[in-house]
Amino acid sequence: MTGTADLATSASGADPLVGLKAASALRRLAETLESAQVSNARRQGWSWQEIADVLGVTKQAVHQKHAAADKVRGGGRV
Amino acid sequence: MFERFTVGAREVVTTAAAEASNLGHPAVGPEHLLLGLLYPGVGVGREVLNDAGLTADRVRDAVRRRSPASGFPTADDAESLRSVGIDLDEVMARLEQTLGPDALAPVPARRGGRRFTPVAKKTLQLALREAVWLKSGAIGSEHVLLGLLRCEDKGITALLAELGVEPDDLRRTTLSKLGRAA
Repeated sequence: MTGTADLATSASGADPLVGLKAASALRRLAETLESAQVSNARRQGWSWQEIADVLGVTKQAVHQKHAAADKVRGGGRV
Repeated sequence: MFERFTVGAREVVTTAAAEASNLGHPAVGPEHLLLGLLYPGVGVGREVLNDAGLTADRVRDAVRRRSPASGFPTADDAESLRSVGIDLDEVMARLEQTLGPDALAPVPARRGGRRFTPVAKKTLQLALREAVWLKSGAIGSEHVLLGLLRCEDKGITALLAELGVEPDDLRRTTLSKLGRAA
């Protein structure tokens, strides 16, 4: 794959394998970004509730998902 | 199975487990045993690897590049993301630049250090065989290294190649350090 036209073709889903792999990769990338930014917010003193509001989930959900990373990365101690 | 291991060889295994956990990997594989072999004080295994230019930091970087923590995008993902116009390396580099390297520190796997991959188990079995063959009463780090070089795992072969070391050379050096001809 070289040209922009090729990229557009693959992204628009002509080949399911390429399209599905891209979708699945995007999910992992999104999870990684979320994880990094939750840690960032915690380090800056955000509460779990504030983070949950922005992400559009419950405080319990965000805490359960990110509390372990928070401990490793030293968040919430500012 | 560990009762015949020397203190050094036990250190290799426990360090391997800790490395796997810190890298966010779900199980202990041969690449983690290689990292364990680079821990100070484990004995001949480490000397051989150090002489070949391997350090724990170098190997850890290579392992992390090859297999990101579970949940993180993989090298395959990078290619898939390119197909939708995203440069993964660029995204990760920027993230690290703005938030610092710790922002992406993997979360230690909860069960990390308990489970061994089939190849890691095979490596330890081969270590036992090497110890028997060399008429050693105990399994030392040198036998774990010899086992690792024999395990014929694609991943570890590729890792060693990337690090610029030749398994056969390592085997020869190990045996000569033990006073045996290869």
